[in-house]
Amino acid sequence: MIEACDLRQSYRGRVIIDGLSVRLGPGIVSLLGPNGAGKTTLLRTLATIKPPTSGTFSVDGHVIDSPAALQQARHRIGYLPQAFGYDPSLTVQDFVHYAAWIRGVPRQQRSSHVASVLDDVRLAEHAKTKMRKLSGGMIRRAGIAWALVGEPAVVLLDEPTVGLDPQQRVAFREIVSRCGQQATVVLSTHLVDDVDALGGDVVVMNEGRALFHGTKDELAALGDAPSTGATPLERGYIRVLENAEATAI
Amino acid sequence: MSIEDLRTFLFLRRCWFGPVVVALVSVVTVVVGHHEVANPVPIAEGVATLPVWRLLSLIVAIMPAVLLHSPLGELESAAVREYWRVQHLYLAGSVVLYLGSFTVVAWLGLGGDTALIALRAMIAWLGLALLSGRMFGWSRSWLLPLVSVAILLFWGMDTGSTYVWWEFSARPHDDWKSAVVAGGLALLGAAIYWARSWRRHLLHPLRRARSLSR
Amino acid sequence: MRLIGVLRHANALWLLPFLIAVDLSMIFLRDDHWVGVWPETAVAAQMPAMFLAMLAAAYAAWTARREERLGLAEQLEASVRPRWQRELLGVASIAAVTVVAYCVGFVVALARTLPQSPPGFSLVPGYWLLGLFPMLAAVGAGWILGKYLPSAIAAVVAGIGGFLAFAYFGEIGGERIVVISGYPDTHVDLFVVLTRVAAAVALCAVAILLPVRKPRSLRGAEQPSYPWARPLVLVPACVVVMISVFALGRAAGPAIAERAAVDPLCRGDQMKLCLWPEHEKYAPVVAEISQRVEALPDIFVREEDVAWEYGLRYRVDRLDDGTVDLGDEEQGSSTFEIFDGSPGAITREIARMISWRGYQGECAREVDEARDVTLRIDSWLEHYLAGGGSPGQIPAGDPEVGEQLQRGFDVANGDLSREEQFEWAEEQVEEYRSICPRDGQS
Repeated sequence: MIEACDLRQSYRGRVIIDGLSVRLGPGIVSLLGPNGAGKTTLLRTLATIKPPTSGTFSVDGHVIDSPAALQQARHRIGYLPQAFGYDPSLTVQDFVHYAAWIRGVPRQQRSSHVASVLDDVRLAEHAKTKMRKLSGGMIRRAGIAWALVGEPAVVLLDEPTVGLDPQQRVAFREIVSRCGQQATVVLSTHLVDDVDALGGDVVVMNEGRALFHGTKDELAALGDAPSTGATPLERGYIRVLENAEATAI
Repeated sequence: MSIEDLRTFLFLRRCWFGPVVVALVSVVTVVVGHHEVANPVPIAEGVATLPVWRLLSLIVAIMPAVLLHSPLGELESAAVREYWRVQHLYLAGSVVLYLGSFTVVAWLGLGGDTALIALRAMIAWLGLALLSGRMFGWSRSWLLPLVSVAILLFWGMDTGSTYVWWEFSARPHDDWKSAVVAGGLALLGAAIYWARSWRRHLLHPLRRARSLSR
Repeated sequence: MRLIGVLRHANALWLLPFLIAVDLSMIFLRDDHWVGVWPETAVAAQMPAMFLAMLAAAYAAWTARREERLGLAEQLEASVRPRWQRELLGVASIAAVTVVAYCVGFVVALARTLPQSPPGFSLVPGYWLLGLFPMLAAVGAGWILGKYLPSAIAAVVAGIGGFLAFAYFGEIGGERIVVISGYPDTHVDLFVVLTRVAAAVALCAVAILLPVRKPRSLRGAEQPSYPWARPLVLVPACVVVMISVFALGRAAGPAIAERAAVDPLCRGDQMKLCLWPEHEKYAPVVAEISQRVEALPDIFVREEDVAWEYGLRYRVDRLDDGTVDLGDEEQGSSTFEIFDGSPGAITREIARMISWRGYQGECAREVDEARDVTLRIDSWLEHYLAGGGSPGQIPAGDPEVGEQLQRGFDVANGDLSREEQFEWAEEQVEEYRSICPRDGQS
């Protein structure tokens, strides 16, 4: 579980996350919001890539306020950026094995974790295949394996369904659902479909602030009144954004 | 760390380029290192010159920093301590191997005094390369050292054909002022290398005080 | 495509302010003796070209595989524009940024000299063209290295290697890639320099046309990894053009050629000192020196005398290191040279000339005691002619020589009146003649 307290993040003087206080998890949490809402910056901050400008956050109750706490947190976090780098010459197995080492998975357990996670993402039979020979969907699954290997307590996925075809998205949701039973999975998306299918909690973000935090049913309930959108969830999402705009005016 | 992870770590950094480049530069240094070439700066009379080894040593000096680059980028940023320990060891090993072997080759090929000057210059350029790498990315570690070359060559010699006190790549091997400059640049580079963003964040005096008082 | 569009391409525009800063610093943060003399101004503005070339070579090497680095290779492979056109844009943008920075420096330097409007502006374009060659050639060479080596390694190898190559083939190789002094007795041969620039453009063309190894993902069975067919014809053709053009330039003679003598600018009556008109700026200083020469004891001065700035009447080969060996015969002639524009440099030359013509002979080179006396007299003459009044130390060098020079310097800059200085000088000459009785009776 992750708890953020008055978290602020800025880039070159521009405020990206504006005093966010939120508790994420356990289970699946979807960050929903328009482009530029601050979802990626929040995930990068929680992944300990970029320290917050101010405020604190904790992972499983441990506040990151010392180098030791930072190391502890990194053992527990699996993170996959939207556009992740890979070396085309590496095999899938090498790629994920390396991730296990990066995450500090004990040496004797690494191989079994790698095999298990490759099985989970249905890449076991491509373990010895070079990354350059994988399709776009398979590369994305290898990336998910990177984030999941070692059974981290917190998994952060930035727009993980971008570029996946419908069949791959269904498969991906299965993986995430399974993972969500043991870990806190925070994923960012701007696709309401994903939220609907994955269930769990939803945080609607805009301009660096959390406008809504609740279950998907609570969000859908906001969309009962006539509004733009094809589904109750979409209408609820639009309503939250419209309310925020009206308040701002 | 298993052998295969170490292999992947080294493979991602294209580590074999280091020994190849250093070996080639060493051979060239032994063969033509002592040749004097024209340095197009105005001095009182005649033309300033510089020996070829002075600039060749820069190529060796930046290798440890340049070869820290990995295509995985952000995926490695949140790694645990063991990874960083290996990276520090890799950097230290590269520094000892590349700078050390070039110094030995220069010692044998060009003499002890020259080798010591080359070592001092490489230490300074390594510091600048680490600074440059931290600022612009490891693959751009060459930027500040290359700019420093323009400064050293153009302003490093006064019109009386004397090297100025901070000219760490040309002053005599026992000159202490330029040695201090080189050491300072190396320390600066090492400090910047050490001070990753979270370290800066956590060791910020105010935050540290607040954390300890909690 | 508009210029700004070209500059924006390859992310090269950010480089422009940086290169301008480097260029202007190199022009203005060393010395300013060049202000007021057109060829010296042009040379001062041309001198940063080697350093701009070094940075441009590194940046070109870094940029050559930028498309691949950014993961754009695949989408650009499917573009309407062939690869060479995209590369042309990349090479052109870096070359344009470098040349624009160079031109900005040139214009600012020219503007600094313009208020004094000295003669000799026609010498300026040649030096401007001279500086273009290393920059354009560096971009081409850097691009080639960047195509075949990992970008970071290519960048540093191109930067350092490019500088060393130019430095090697420069002054020492006799090709004069750039020059460091704009002597008015020389000018840039435009034909030779234009052939060099053409050769550099041909090198850029070779860089663009050389085949590049495609990423594995783009290699197909029907498409060979190396599309050799076209480069097989075009690259050798460009290389041949490049070598021919460069050879043509070399055959035409050196890039820096001697100028024909012109009507000189003379100052003084009894001791007339004549300058190249481009050195009009030094006329007042030279007039003062002439007056001081005329006031010297008779032992130093002939009744009517004329001294010429180098190249106006006498000329010998300039040495590789830029200095001039006047030889025994020429030392006896009335020739002086202005090295870096300081009165000290002018008076040093004139002092040597006066000594030689007044009393000195071969003995000064052969007998140590005679050499010491001439060192003292030359040092006194140099500083007396410069006006004296600047106490200090002679820069350290050979301690024995330095001691003699310092003695002459102290007399010129000490408390002695002019007459007392002259007395001292005459005693020195007497001492010289006691050592070398038959010398210096010219």
